[in-house]
Amino acid sequence: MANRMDHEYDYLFKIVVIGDSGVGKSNILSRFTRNEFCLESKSTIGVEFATRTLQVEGKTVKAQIWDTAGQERYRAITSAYYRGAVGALLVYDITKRQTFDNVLRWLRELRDHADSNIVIIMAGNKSDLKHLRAVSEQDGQALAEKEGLSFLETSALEAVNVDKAFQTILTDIYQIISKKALAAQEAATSTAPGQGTTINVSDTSANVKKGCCSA
Amino acid sequence: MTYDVYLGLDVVRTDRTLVFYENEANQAKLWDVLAVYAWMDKDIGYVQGMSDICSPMIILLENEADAYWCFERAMRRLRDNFKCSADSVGVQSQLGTLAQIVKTVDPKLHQHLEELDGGEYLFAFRMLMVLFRREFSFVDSLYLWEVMWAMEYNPNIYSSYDDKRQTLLSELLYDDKPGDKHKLKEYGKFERNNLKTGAAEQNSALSVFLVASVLETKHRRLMKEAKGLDDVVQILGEISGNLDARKALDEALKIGVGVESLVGSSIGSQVLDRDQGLELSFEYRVDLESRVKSYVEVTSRVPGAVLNQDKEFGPRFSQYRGLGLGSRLKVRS
Repeated sequence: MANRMDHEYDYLFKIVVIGDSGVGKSNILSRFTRNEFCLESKSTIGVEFATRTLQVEGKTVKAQIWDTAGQERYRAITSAYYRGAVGALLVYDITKRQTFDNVLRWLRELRDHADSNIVIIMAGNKSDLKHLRAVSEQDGQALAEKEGLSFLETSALEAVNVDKAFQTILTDIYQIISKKALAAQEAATSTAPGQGTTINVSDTSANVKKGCCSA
Repeated sequence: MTYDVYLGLDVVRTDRTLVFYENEANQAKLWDVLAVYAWMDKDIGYVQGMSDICSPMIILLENEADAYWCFERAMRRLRDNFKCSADSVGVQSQLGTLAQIVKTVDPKLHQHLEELDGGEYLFAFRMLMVLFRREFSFVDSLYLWEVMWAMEYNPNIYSSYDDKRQTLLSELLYDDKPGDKHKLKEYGKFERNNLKTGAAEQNSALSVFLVASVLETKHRRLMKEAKGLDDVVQILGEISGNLDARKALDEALKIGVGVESLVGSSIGSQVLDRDQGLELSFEYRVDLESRVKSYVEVTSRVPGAVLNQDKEFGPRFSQYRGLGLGSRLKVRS
């Protein structure tokens, strides 16, 4: 039974949810993993974890999501947060300008500590609170384009775009990984004798050079 | 964001299932005490999680100044956990101790956790940070707090507490029975010793042993079913309300003894010392004032608070309503 469980997915992707305190990270997570929203949610202490398994382009993907505390004092455990993370959901609160302004700080943090290939999606949460809106959707879109991120406005309360946000990020990750796998496969087959495929020298130049000099 | 922003964010979401905090005056008290603390202890300020520690004091003590001093005393024990530097959070030293304890008493489990990328024991971060407040019901966690803190005062107190759980500490302290008087005389011993050895700043290791005992009780499931840290958290999460707090304490003490006999001082002189035995493990800086206060408050309002209850402490607590605490623990409908 335990073994079967183990093989019930094709891929395991670690995703981190980051953003200022109180933007709704934990509720986005509970909406995605349990389809729940807790009006009386508490602050996250340190790090919490949850998973959901879903289909991405015909493959079964298990998303292991790390929900982190928003207070920057907790950032000291970043190495553990970001180690092995292939995706990040960066959340701000559309009713609090400050949390949007801090997005750049969170991006810097990701660039400093996370893998350079990490896939990032930005989510402007609490889109149900239209009357309190302090950040326009255009502003969010513009920042996302400038920084090269995917972007969605979400509402964990009304279950709007939460699944879509995760689906987007998981699909992006899957595509990158399958492209890589394909490239690796091609590289592997191209080494077989008699195959006339072009070898991309720039990628492997370091290795080639080494072999060359030592010969 | 400065700390008062977090403070404001957290005050409104601390124990907000309780009717008690529907009253803005009570929220304001929580805010006041935390703000004054942050102002007094500038190295710490406000760190998320502190509101969980403070909230019971606000509920138990009507007087704001009393609540402040109880919280301040509790923070003396816990503040190291909240200390953050550029590359670590204070509680990580306790997590390191936990890792060593588990490695010693249950190497297989430790290895399994390491394989799941859990070697840093971050899944236990919250338990140690807010001293089980999120894992146990309100009353269960208070029970653990009072026993933990009473044992700092006297390591032997747990057995006497266990023997007669209906006995209030006030009775224990002011009883005329010769045995108890003798005990009472001993209570200062540990404090004096700590002053002498300069052990005043150390963290309570009993909480670490408690986490270890919780892990131990879940050994089989963790080994069999945990395929990721999320599973670990889920399995540990199921302890909420299902774990007998007293049993957990017994286990914690057993592990404490076991570790001590196995490795002696190698775990760290702060935690264990072969020469002085287990006793030293639980010799911590004593604080008469807060201990007696919290102890007397809790026990007198909830005599023999029966533990091992479900998470919903509200309905079960109806029986204590006449004693003053019940109404304060009423859950919002």
